[in-house]
Amino acid sequence: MKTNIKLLFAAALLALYSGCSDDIIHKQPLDELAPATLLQTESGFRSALDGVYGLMKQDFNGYSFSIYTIPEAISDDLLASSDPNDYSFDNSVESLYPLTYNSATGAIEGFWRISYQAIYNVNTIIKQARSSSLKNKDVFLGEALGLRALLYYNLYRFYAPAYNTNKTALAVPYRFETDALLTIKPRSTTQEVIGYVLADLKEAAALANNTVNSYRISKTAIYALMARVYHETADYKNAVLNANLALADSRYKLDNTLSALEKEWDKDESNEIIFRIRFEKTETAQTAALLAIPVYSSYPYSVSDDLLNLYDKNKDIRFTVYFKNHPFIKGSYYPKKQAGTRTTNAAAFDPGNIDLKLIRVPELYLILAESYLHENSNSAALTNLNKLRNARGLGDYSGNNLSTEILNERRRELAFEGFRFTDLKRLGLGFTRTDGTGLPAHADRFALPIPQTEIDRSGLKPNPGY
Amino acid sequence: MKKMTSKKVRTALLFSLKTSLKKKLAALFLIASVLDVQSGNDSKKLKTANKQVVTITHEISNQQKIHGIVKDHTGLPLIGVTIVVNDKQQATTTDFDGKFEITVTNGDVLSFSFLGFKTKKIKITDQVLLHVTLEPSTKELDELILVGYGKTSRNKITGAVTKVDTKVLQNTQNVSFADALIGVVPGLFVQENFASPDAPPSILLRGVGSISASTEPMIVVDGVQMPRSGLGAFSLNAADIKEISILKDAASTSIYGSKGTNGVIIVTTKRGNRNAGLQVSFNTRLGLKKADESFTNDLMNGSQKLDYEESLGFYKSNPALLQKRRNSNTDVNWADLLLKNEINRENDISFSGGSDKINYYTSVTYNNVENIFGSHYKRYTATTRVDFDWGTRFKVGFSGNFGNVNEEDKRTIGSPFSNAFLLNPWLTVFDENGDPLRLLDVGNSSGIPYNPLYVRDNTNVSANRKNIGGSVNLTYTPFRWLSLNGVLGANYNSTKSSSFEKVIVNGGVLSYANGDNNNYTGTLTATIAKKFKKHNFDIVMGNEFNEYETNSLSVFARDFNSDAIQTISAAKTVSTLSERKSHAGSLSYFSRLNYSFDNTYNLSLSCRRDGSSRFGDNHKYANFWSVGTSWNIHDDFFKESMHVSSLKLRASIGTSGNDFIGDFASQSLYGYRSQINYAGSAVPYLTRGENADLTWEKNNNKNIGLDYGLFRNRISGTIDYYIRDTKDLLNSKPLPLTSGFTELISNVGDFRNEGIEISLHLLNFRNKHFSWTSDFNIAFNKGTVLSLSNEKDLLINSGSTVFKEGSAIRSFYITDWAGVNPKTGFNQYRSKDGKLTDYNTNRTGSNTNEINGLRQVVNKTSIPKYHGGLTNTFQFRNLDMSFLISYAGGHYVLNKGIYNLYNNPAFNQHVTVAAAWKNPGDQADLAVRQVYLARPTSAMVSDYKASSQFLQDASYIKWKNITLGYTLNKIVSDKIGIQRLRIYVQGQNLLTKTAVSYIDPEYATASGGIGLSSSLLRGYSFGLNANF
Repeated sequence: MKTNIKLLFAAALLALYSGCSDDIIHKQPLDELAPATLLQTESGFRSALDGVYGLMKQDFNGYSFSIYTIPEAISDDLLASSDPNDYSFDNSVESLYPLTYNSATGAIEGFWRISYQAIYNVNTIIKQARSSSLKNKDVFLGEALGLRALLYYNLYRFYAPAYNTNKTALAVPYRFETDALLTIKPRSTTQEVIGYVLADLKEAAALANNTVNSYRISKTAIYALMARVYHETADYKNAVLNANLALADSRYKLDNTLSALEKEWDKDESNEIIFRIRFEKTETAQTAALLAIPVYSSYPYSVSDDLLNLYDKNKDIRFTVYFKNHPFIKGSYYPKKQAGTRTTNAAAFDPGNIDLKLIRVPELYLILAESYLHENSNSAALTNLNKLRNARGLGDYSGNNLSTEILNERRRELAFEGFRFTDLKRLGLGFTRTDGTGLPAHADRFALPIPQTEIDRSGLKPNPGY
Repeated sequence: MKKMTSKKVRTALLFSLKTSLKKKLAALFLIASVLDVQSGNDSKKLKTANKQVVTITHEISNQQKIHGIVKDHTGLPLIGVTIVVNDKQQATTTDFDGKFEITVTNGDVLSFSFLGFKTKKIKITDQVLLHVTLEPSTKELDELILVGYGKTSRNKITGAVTKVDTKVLQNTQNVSFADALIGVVPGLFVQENFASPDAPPSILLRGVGSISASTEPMIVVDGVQMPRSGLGAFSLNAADIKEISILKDAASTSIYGSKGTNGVIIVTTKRGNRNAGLQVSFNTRLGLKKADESFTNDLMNGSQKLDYEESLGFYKSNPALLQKRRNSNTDVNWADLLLKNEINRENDISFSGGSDKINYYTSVTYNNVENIFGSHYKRYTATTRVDFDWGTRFKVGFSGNFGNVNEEDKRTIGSPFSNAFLLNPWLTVFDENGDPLRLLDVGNSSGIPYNPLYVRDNTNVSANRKNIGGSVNLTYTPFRWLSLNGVLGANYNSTKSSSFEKVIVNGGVLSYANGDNNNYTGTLTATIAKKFKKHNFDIVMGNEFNEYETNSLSVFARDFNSDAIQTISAAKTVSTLSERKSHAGSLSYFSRLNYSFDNTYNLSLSCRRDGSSRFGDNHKYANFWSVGTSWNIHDDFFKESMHVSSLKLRASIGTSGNDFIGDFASQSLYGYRSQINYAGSAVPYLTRGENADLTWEKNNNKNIGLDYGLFRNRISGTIDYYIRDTKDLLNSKPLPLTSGFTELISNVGDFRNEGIEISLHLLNFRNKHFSWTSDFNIAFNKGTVLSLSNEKDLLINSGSTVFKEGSAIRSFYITDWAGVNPKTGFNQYRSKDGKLTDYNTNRTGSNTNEINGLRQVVNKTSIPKYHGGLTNTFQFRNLDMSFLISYAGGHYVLNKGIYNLYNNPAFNQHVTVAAAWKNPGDQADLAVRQVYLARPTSAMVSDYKASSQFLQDASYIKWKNITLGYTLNKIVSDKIGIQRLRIYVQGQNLLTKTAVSYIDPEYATASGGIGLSSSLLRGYSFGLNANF
């Protein structure tokens, strides 16, 4: 009897001890969050969206260097330095400028990788927002859709030929928020990608609002982006419509003094900036070293005469803001526009950061001018061109080649912001630099190669010509 | 309802499963306070006991002193036999000659006990001289060996288990006891670590069994699993260790399931003896270590370096600077300035003893190291262990450890070792007052980099580590054949470190980190031992839980107003602030059956079921099993043989696993760990994709072994052959970039390690005055990648070694260097088809991508093909000597140190660099040196690093240590009241033969690299052991 009691006691001990095990082997992470948990609140959505901007810019190859250095190194506004002592942080002078880039070129793979990483993150937000019951979720959904449109538009811009010249050419794979992690999507055509981008923007415009500042995608930024995409794809009526909707936001307007323009580019302070990627002083991204590094006396690029000759050196307030005399080469200029000094610390050889101003008011006037012209409203075109010219210290345009002048004004105003590359593609132009390098019109190389890593891993079709 | 009841019961039993830290700490305090109380009681009892002894001596007049000698059945004296009078009153042990003396009264019963021998009792009836012969407890010296959740006799063991002779623990001069395992355990590859005075060695058992998860064995101390961060996670002093077993094959490790894959090191610590008076053991040691500085002979001197710089054109625009530097005629030996001699001290003292119901052991250790970088290191450890019988059926054991380390680690400031190589000899280092200058010149410019001596003088660095560990052990034996055992163990670590570089250096920089982790293991086992005639059954059944929690905070802050305030909040800029927390838990059930027939035929079966929080929802649980068998051939065939004294064949097969994969690796989560910011705020992003199918790495082990003993065991040893297959290896699998990630943690491949381990113990000579034994071991291992889920992609985990299907594990992935092209001056690399390609290192014309493409997986690996050691032990009268030669071979290392000495023209370089190619037609061993004159400090590539040019054979043979000791004659030591007194001198790392330049070959990493991290460190010390 006693024996049985002992045995029973021992058995009971064991049984009790091993009960209630769930809390031991089911644990939740403590310093990481599941998407469904983070995106339960409005502040969670805000942080997650800011996380996407953060991701986009955290690497040279994304939206801190490559978004500008890729298109600028493949155009005719800049000439590479032949001095071996000049260098650029992201190596664009050597890897891109000679126009011999291939599917293994670092920046080309990097921009692709970061764009899709950002897309995965933004898709996660879109997916959660669509099923969210938060009152204010639409605003975040709108911003997320706008951001996704921006990411895909830039992928299209880099890796596909222009929609205008080839609507059925392969662009990039389009991943929706519903695509599973391991699903492999083939490349969509330029027409399909532009269709998806516009669909996102239309949905976004209806949802977003204008409570966010220029560090994030606001409703105005969405209209401006829509105007850009319509303009790019020659839907001028809609381009006009959306550019005007964007300009209706009284927060953003043209600067019209030298000091204001100087402040915009040197100190990142301006009412012209509708959307920018923000860089704080504490960050080590060194975006102020994009195209020139004065604190290192390194000038990887000088400005092409082609571009310089478009300006009225005396009257145009942009000239001294955008260019500066090369300290070593007489008569030559280096691009000063993207070398602001807001956070420069010359003593510590730190070029510091500038904000990357991705959407600005003057572009909208140029879109209006060009679109009105295509819609045969010459006077409206001229009015809008002159609004910009007047703001830049120039008088009204009096010549008779309005169409060329609008394009020249576009090149003047938007120099070193990546637009020249897109315009060459869109307009079916080629270029030849004074050093003999260049691309003929409609060259395959205007569409960057699909990265080899991607081809190896998902079997995508490469772009022709590589 | 049920929940409540169980909760109460568990709380009552101290087995608190709650995760809240408070409760855990409460449990710890409870253990600690019980310990305190208990040790208090104990010392009282002790005092009483001592008094009694004293009284006896005075009051009883018919006492007499008797002498004697204890020998084994072969007639050799036995050292350390415990002799107890009347089961309690008095005790002593035999000395080196097997002799003893003790005071007794007629009618007393002396009992002689020694591990592995039958205890003998002798009643005193007027004897004065006793000659005692002890018989082995079984046929041969059948010792008990630690295995998972118990002990078993050597005869019945079916697995590959090495019992370490703990005498080797005396042979290391390092703080970490595990350094004593170098070269003594067949199949265990141990490499000394020089990073910090107590940095534990790296340990690899039977080859590399994982790609990205840990490859270190699990450590179990007194039945409690130590945290997975390994030996560094707890402080254990060598002198407190009683036994060490290394479990190697499935039959022995499978009972640890998902934690057993890399082998298990089981340690038990010393406890007091029952019925023994107070024993005090005191050890002290003073040592010196010296870094080998012969590398300075291969560096340029001041004028050579200036010549070289001039030839590169550094001074074209400023010849006056060159003249100034030449005129100063400086030739600094940076090694002398940056490296010092290490002085280390160790003192430990332990007290132990016991009555018939209770025994205790307590010890204190103090280490002090002033190492070669000028670091200060102090460690205290204290341990207390008490076991007592609670009635006749319960036994209770408590143990507690505390360790505290204070360290000023100067190794982390100003990179002393690499700077000893790389700083220019022509530099002006001190000002006219003899104080180090703030700035040093570099290349053709002045005053940019900081003087490491200056930075060292102006940096406050401190670190503190604390470790508290304890366990409660309860054994209930309701029947002779059944015992129930519960162990609750906890281990708590905290670390804090800060480094403050003063404002004067560069505005003030603070880096601060603190962290803590705690780990709980609770184990309940039921052990059944039954014998029916010749059938012997041992059954263990058990249940175990383990919980682990870790927290850390690190901050990097800049720009301070004053050195007087060094807090984070006083910094103007906090550039990094990262806090991490994680936890994990596992729950397991296990059982093992050992069946033995007549001690000749043995069978063991084990199984374990593990549940772990670390695994994806689709794989919460996994099962592990093993079957082992052994056959005492000796008993069947050689019983009468004069030559064969023992022979046993073992075979085992089974599984184990590896759950060290990251706590939440299967989930896609928003991470806040690595700082990314937007618009001034830290923002989260998704750090990885989800893989709900993620499962643990599985090991499938097969082992065949032979234990042999010849000529009355004068020759004995073991031979093991194993095949260790690892399946479902975890690593990042490449993903299409469009997925949003570049990789996904997945189960990607299978490895095989197979090998042979041989150990040989030779009793070369033994008589009354002299004995000589040799222990030799060698292990051969061959690791192969059986499959990788993505055949096309090489897995490049880190460094220059890769994993490729069909190739050896961690094969080098390098270019084939074909010397220098005399025409162009560039290095040439040979492609597979023999074509030579120049590596154009001009800054603008670089074809690095092309050369990258020439890398091939070669038939050379970073993992040794063989390793082992040879220990010789001598005993001559009172003198003892032992020395160890350790070796490893068949592996290679990419010497990045040499690469740096060739490719950093602005810094000091190897003398041969001056003879690099200059003009077409030059026949040179070194390609043309590139320099970027605008910024000479930015290293320009002249050679391709991952190439056979820098690959060196990492094989080495080392005279690892030697100890020479002298034990004072007992007659002499008794006079000064000491039972045993030994003095000794030691040497460590005295000679090394290797092809690796400058750096200690033990510093080669598994990933195949070695840098300018540490040259050979030779150590010398002398010390004293005393027992009284």
